[in-house]
Amino acid sequence: MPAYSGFAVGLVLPFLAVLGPLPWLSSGTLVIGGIPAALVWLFACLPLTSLCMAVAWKLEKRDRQDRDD
Amino acid sequence: MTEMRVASTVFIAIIVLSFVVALVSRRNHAHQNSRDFFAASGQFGGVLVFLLAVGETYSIGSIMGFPAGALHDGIPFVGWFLGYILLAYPVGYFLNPLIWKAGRRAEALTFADLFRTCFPSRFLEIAVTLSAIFFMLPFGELQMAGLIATIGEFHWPFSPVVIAGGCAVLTFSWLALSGVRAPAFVSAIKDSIVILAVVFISIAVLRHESWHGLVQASRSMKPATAGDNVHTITTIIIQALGFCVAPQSIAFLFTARSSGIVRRNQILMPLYMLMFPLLLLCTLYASATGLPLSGKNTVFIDVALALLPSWGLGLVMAACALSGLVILAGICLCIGSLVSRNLVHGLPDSRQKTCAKLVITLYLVFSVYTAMHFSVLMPVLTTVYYLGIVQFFPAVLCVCLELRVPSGFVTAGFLAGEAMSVGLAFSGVPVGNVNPGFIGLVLNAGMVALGLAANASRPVPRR
Repeated sequence: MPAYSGFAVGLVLPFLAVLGPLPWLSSGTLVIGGIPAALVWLFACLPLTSLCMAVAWKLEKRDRQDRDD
Repeated sequence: MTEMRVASTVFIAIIVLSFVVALVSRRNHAHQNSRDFFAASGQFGGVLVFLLAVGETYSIGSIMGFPAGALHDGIPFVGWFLGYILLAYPVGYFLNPLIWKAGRRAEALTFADLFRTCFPSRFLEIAVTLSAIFFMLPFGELQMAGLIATIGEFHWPFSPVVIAGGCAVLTFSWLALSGVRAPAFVSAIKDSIVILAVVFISIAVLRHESWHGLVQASRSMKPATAGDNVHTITTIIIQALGFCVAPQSIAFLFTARSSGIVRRNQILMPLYMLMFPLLLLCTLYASATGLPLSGKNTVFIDVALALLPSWGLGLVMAACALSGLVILAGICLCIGSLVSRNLVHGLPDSRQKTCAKLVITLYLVFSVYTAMHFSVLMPVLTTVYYLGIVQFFPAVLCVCLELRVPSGFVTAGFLAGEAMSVGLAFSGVPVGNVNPGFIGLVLNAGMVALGLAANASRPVPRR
């Protein structure tokens, strides 16, 4: 797996996930379960960002193993 | 009255415990050289590095400021605050291991040591050192102001200057005992107590207010405007980058045993932010019930006063106070090391520690004094903190990636970026709601890129 996939998942994806919908959600009136969608999405991004980095870690590890093999 | 006595007893017991822990951290390290004093000889494992680094997230400013900011400024504030801290972690995931490796190559103890080794320019070293010190100056005052506000809730018969003086003495004694080891060990207590305090207060909120009431309060939070969005996004970007190159954050990285530790920690850090939704419950409770507030930044404390038993209140106060003290200790250590290693050149190892202790004393005195006299000036300096700090980013990237850029271009980019950011911030020139730091960073990065293109074949000087 090329190194840039780890970079895309670990860095680019969290930035897109947080910054992409933020303008639309924080100025809109959309609610999820009665709570403003901006808050729900931002709080969901906390574990999602960890997950993205964990996946990047796995990809990098696999990449290193492939190179060693 | 008895209730406050119980709260005071719990608070004092926890503060005494922090001192005992600082004393324990000295074990086997009673005779420290400067490397051990400033960077624990690079021996810290994952847990201690995590606690040191995450301390930045849960400062007294975050714990008291987040619920208050969410109450007064609504959703744009929450988006900005969570956005920049959260996105700093993926940046750190890739950048921090590179900084750690560059630090090992340069045998660095401070972030300015990196510059000294990679760019043969004493002027650049002095410029980044003075900049870093200047931008960190208000942080001591901010912690002191938070500590005075928190401890003031006990209504002890002491003046604010005595309270601030006591905090300064405690911070100095931690550092004098074992340098960076003390805040790292004390962070373990601090974080445990912060988690307990936030969980207790959330449970109390959920017991005293209906979920429906809290949800209604969340819908009355102020939404963002189009102008807010441009400013929020550009601010999140520069602060997420600035967070990773802040001098004190870089100094903490040098305490780690390996680059793997530094990288693994970043994966866990966003999970630690799951306390912010709980902190937001305080905001929603205050909004739903129309809770009378004793000050602009006291939502968290006021909710604790209203809902928690006296021992719980003591715990919350101790959590806030330790958060302030740990951050203060980290900043003191960072400024002390920058002066003794980078501003004053060529001090022998033993005198670096003495010099740092002298600087720490002066900085603490300055922080107490400014907390008493300059509350208006300091928020202005705090505003420019990230405008200035983020300008280190292109240079740090050059160091980490061993890019061949002449020091003149790096220095010019860094100074132009700072001048542009601060100039735009205070001149009132309309920039379409873009954060001035972002414009400065683009100019800075452009000059560094120019240097890279102009001198692609020149090797980076190494020690």
